[in-house]
Amino acid sequence: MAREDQLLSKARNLVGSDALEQVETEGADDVDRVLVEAAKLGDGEAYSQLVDQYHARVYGIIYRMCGAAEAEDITQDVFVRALRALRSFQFQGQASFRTWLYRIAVNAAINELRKRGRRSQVVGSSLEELQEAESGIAERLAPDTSQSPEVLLERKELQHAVHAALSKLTPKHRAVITLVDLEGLPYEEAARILGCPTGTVKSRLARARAAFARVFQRYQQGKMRIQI
Amino acid sequence: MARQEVAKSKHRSEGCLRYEPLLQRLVLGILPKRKRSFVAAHLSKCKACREYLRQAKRLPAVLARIPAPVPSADLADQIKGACLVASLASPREVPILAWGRGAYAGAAAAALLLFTALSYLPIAARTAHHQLSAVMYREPVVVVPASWEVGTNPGRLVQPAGRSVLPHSRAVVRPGIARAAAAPVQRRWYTPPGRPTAPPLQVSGRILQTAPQRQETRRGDTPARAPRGPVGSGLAAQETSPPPPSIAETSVDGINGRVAHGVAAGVLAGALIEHYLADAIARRGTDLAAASLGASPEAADVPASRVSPDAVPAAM
Repeated sequence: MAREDQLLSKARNLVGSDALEQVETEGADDVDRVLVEAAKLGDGEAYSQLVDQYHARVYGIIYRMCGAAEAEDITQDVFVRALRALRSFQFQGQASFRTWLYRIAVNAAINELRKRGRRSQVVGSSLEELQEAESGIAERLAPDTSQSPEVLLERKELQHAVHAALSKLTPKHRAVITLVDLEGLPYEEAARILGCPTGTVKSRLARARAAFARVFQRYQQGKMRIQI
Repeated sequence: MARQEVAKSKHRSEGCLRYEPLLQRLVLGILPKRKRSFVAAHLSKCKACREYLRQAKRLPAVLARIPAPVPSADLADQIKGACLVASLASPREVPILAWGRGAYAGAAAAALLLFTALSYLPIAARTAHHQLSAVMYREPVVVVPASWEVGTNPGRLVQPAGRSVLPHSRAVVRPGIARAAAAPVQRRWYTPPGRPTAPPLQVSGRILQTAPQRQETRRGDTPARAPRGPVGSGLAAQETSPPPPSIAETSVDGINGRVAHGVAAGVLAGALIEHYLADAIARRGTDLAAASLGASPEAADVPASRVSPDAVPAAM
C-alpha cells in the first residue's frame, strides 16, 4: 500500500493534481492509468516508472517460459513493443496495463519459442545430478521454513528443476502454469492475458499440470536429462 | 478379490496415465459429474492414483513458493535506454520520451532559421572540388552517454554491460557523431520523409569527417569499424577541447522530430534561397561555393568552427 501511495504521489507530480482527480483512484491500476496517459504524451519519467514497476515480473514470466539465456533481451523487446503500441492502448472495462503488458510478454515468449522451432533446451544441471530420493513431487516441493545452506541449495536446485521441467512443455502449457501457478494470477486475469475463456484456462491448466508432473517424475527418476 | 486388486495397483500401470488429466481436473473442480463416479471407482482400487491425487492437490501451493528469478540490476536501465532510442528512431509510432518537458521549445525559433539555412547551404556548393556525400543524414542521430560504446555493427550501441540496445531502432549512430553527453539520449536531428538528400557535393578545402563512414554503412557490406573503446574515452577529449562539429551536427542541434515537422514551412523558404543561390553560382562561378564552405573561412557563410580541422582524408 505504501508503494501505491508513493507511486500515486509521483504520478500526481507528473501529471498534476487536476488530471489526477479525474481518475477514480482505487489501487495500482489507477496509478498505472495516470502513468500511461502521461507516457502517451511523451513523459519519459512516467514510462520509466512503469518499467521500474513491471520489469521484474515480466522478466520472471519470460525467464520461466524461454529460459535464462534470452530472457533479458526479450524483456527489453517487450517494453519496446509496449511503447510502440502505447498510443493504441485504451483503458476499457477491466483491462489494465498490467494485463496488457503481460499479454505482450506471453505472446513474445510464445513467438520466441515458435521461432526456435523446437522446445527450448534449458542448459545446466541435470535431474540425474540432483540425486533426489524416491519421494514424490509433493514431498520434494514441500515448503520448508528452514534457512540452512543445505535447504537453500536444495531450493535453488529445485527452482532449476522446475524451470527445466517447464521447458519440456508446450508453449501454451508453459504459459498457463507460469501465469497461474508460478505468478499466482487469478484465472480471470490469466484468461484475459491468454485471450481465451476462463474454462479453457482451467482445462488447459489441468493438462499442463499433468504433463508437468509426468516430466518432473521422469526427471526425478533420472530418466531424463535436462540441461539448465 | 478387492484386496487383490488393491495389491496389484500399488504401482501405476499404463492405464493409470489416462486418469492423470482427469485427476488434475478433479483438483481444479472442473471434472464433469458423469466422470466423477468413474474416477472415484478407479481411485478406490488404485493406491498409486490416490497418491498422485494427493500430490496433485499440493502441487499448486508448492509451485507458488518457487522464488521468482531475479533480473540483473541494470536491466531496467537497459530497457529505458532501448525505449528511448526506439522513441527517437520512429517518432510517428512511438511517443517521444522527453526528460524535461519544453527543453526544445526555446530553441525552436532559432533552429528554424538554422535548419533552413544549413540544409540548403551545401547545395550551393556543388561545383567545388572535393566530393562530400554525408553532409545530410536522413537517419536520426543520437547522442549517447559517455559510458556507452558504438558497436562495430552500424546503428548498434553497446552499453557498459556489453549489451546491444538498438535491436529495433532505425536510428543510425555513428562514431563520429555519438559523443559523451551529460544528459540522457536526445534527439539531434530529423529529416522529414520525402525530403531528398543532398546530391554529392564538391567543395574545396576540408572534408567533413563523417563522409567516408556514411558511404560504408549505407552499403551494409563493409560496416564501418567503430572504435571499440568507450565513447567517452575518445570523446572526452572532445569535450575538454571540443573540435568543431560537422555541418550535420551543427545543423541538427536543438531540433527534434516534431520541430522538424514544423519547419516544413521553412523549407519552402529555403527553396527560394536555393533558387537565388543557384543563380548566383551561375553568375559568379565556382569560387563562390568554395569560399562558402571553408576555403576562406573568414569570408564564408559557415564559420570556421563548423568545419572539422582534421577531416581531410588522404584518399581525397
